[in-house]
Amino acid sequence: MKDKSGSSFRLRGADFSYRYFHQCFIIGFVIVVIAVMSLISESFRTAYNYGNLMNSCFALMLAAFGQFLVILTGDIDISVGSMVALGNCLSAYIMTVMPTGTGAVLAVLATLAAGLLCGALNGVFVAVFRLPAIIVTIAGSAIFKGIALILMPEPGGTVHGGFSKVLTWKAARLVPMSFFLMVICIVFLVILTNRTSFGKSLRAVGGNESAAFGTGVRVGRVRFTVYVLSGLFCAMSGLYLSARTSCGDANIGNTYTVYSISAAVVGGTLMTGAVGEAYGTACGALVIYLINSILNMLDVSTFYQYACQGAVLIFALMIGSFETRRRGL
Amino acid sequence: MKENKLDFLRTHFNQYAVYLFLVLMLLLAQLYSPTYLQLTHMMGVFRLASFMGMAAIAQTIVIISGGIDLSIPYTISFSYILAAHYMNSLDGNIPQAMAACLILAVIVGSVNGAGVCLMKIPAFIMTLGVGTVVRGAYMIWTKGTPKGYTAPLIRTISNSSLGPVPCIVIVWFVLGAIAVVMLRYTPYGRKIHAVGSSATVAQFSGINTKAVLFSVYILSAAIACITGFFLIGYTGESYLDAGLAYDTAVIAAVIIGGTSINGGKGGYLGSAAGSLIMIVFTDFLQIVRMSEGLRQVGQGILILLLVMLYARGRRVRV
Amino acid sequence: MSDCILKMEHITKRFSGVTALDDVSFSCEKGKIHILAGENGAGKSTILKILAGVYLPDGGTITLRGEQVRFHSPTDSQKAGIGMVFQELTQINELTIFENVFLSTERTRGGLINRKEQLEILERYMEQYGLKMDPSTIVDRLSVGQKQLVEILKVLVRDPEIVILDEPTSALAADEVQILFRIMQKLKEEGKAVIFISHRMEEMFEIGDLVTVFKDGKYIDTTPVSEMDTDLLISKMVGRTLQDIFPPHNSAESEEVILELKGYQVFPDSEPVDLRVHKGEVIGIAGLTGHGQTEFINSLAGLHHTAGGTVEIRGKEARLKNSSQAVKSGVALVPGDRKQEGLMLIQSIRMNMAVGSMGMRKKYGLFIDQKAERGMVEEYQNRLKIKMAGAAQEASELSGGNQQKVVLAKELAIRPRVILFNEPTKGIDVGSKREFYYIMRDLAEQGVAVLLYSSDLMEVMGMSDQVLVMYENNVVARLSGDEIEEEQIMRHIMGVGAEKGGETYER
Repeated sequence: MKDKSGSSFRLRGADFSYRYFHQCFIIGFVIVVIAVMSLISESFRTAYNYGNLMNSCFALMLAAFGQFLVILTGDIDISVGSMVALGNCLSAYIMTVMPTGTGAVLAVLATLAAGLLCGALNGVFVAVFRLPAIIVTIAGSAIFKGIALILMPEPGGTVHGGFSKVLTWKAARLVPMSFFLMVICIVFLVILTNRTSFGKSLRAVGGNESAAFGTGVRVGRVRFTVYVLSGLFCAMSGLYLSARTSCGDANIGNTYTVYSISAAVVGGTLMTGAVGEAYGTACGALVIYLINSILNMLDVSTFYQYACQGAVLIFALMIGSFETRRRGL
Repeated sequence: MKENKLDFLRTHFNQYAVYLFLVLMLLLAQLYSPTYLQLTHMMGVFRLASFMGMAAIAQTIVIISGGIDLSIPYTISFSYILAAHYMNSLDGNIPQAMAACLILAVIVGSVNGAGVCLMKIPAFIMTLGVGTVVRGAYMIWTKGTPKGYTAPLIRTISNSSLGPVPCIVIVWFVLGAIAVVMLRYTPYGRKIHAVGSSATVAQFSGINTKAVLFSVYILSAAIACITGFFLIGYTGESYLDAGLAYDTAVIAAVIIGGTSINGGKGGYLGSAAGSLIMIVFTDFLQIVRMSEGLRQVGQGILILLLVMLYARGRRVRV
Repeated sequence: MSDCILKMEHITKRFSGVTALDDVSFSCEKGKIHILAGENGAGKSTILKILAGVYLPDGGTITLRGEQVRFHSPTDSQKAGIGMVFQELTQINELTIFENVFLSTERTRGGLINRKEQLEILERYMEQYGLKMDPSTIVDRLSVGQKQLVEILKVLVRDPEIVILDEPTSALAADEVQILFRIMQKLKEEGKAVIFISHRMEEMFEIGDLVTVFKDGKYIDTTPVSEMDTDLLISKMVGRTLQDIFPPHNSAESEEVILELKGYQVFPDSEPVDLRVHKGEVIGIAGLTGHGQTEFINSLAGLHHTAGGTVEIRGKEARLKNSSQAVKSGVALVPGDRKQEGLMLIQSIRMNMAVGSMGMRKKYGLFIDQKAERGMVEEYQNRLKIKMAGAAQEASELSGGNQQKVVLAKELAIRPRVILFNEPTKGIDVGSKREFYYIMRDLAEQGVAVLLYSSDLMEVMGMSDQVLVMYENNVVARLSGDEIEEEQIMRHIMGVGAEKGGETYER
């Protein structure tokens, strides 16, 4: 026990490193990589490239935020990729059928509502019927992907121009919209997971479900809400993809489930729940696209990307494992 | 004696309930399409199910041990490509192909095993990472265009029949029977159950938990490689990502077969029925000409329904 | 009874056909410490869990401050001013003390947690009850005893009028028990009702005002502690007196050495131990929690590293590098934590009993001999008098005492030459305790070396032919015969042994 005189809620020393070691590491890693790349490569050092990097990883980032929340409760959401695909196809479908401004507004609202519904479906089965999350979301994944396929059996459709413009707008032709959105999301999530009652409950459920229940945390409600939020973030991700690609594709989310888990874990979220921060997850998503971008610049074949991403994930896991053992757990 | 039989039923109820459902589904299919239960058609279904069934052996063993192996589909894909590459249409090359697959199994299995039991990384994320690397490895190795063709012998095993029964189904049954007996009637199988229900208790009871877990991942990779090895006989030509059809579907088959996702409980008998259910269902929807999208929706609903019915995980509440 | 704050009347609770509580009534008053006594399975925990909103009663009424209430969840009960410290810790290891204490009762302002206000509240409470902790410490890094204190703090912050403590002392070291008693005294002075369950007699008499006895799911009576003594209390609980709870020691001394430790060192900085266990002897180990007893016992079972020395079993050197080697050498361990280390709760009794000794019952060298296994289960069911529905029953469905017997059966099935007991009777009822003592003595007579560590001094004294006292990872005293006496042991336990007492105490 430490000296009582400095009594505070702020973590210090070993307690700080217990919770933030991995987050600090990943932020440092991202900064160093970007700095080094900017120094050695002229083509990397362009405003266009920074913006492009941000834009290309933002959709994954949104999906990873949803995954991050679910992982904090110690569960997993396999349906993330399918929900992204559904969001993308549904919005493109509505905007194709109604190519007006009203259509665009309707598409946004309908997609967000669909995201909520998908999340609620997962949530009901996990929280109310208490089925294992992995199997529920595997089933959910099939259902949502199926609906996306029904809406868009082939990639296609069009997207309202204004809608596209808003989401891909750049401030002073430099800073993309996605950057501002990312900052808003991170601030929202940091406050939600650290400064609210709900956030503490969320971590408590991930840490020790029965203990949380005994303390008075409404476990079912927390779980349900988390899946709904995950659905919402995935719907936003799908919407953003519609704006970027200007079409709908039911297979667009295929890699998102795996990548979103990767992003959260590389960003320092523990698979066992309770520990993790939104900015870490954002960095995790950024790392995945940084690798792609660097490999592209080095003119390495795209086949190396898979291997590199896997290697980075395993590397991050090893750091986590090392850190866990240093704690003597 | 009577009590013993009751005990037996009580322990294995979930695994038998799934057979009831399978029979019910087959009868319904028969009602709709009167030729459904014909031997030739049924054998076709079994042939398809045998690959998923083999992959499910691997997944069942790992899930009972308290983990999960997400690298199985990628290992299947890689061994499939390796097998095609080394066989190169010649029977004489089969030993080389087998050796290549074996080496792959040992490598993938040991890396998974090392991560899970030595570094204590959660199995879900460790095997996912390894799976991604395996996929990357065959992407790099083949540069996106795998070469080679199956050897005639493997093609015969995977495609022809012994009497009415396809050879590959016999292979599946033999492997499945070994898995059932191993899991249920040998000390090693018991140890897998013990480690899955509580690694600490297993260790306190004198079980070398690390060795058991490590061997489980090796075994899983080996079975995945066998699956890929025979899968090339079925398709003939080599493709990328051939094993990816066996990812979540196999997990679903295992779970609806009554194996607990939390480990410690279950068996292969249920998973075999689970694999059959997954195949019969898609097959039936194809017969009624449902679109790809609707088929997927149907499959999702089926999984939810089945899991609701009898594999309801008991979550501890205080 | 003007101060009566809580009345529970005619409470009945059944679990799948088994009646756990049968028409029980219980009431408690402000400013009093109520002890609940009774064997395990007598219904103490059940009635408290009903009060805490964890279980719903099947019948009966709860009257709180004159109003009839019904609790559907722990939250309901908390809101009504009832705070329960559970037997199992309900902390989130990954969160800090600060976050744990306020979990689900966060003080918020505008939807956000008001951390300043919370910190002030926490500091006020810590000062009030004399607890010293850094609120930003992650709970994972605390000892079990400290966690238990955080648990109590967590309840106190909710400002309950009735505080329930369900066996809180089993994980606490002696000084921590004193902190707890100070807190209880303080609560009593503040006019709160305290309900306290403990299996340690001396604690009941030290702190309690009233004692209520439960037996077999029924209420027996409530008596002021001042009118009660140990023998009377035990006879009320079981109808037996203390004298015949321990079996008589073996009178004839044997020269046959079963287990011998030579220069045995568990930690690099601990002094080497030499020990000989003769046939018929029970060796007791005493010490406060966390002074190396569990490590000492576990190391013999191959579950903890050793720093040096050799172990000989019946004259042959034994390799004990890991648990499977230990089992092969014939070392059995009844571990300290039944639910975490002893039993696979989701598995059948049969599986649990068989898991350690599967290699001994093989058919064709490969398969499990089912018949022999069934025979084994039946044998131990009869020999240990295990109450169970069948071999396929899940271990989690058994009562504590019967669970512990299944663990013992598992260990006996390996035909041990050495058997180690780590707190074998923790949390089990007096009746089962007595059976355990007789089994231990029996094993010793049969030539099995028995080592017993217990935090219950009565038990160590009652059972042992030789007592090793451990302090700071060292064996500091070795007592036998008439030296086995409470005051003597206690002195060594506290590190104030006869010669080098002062020195060790300073460390």
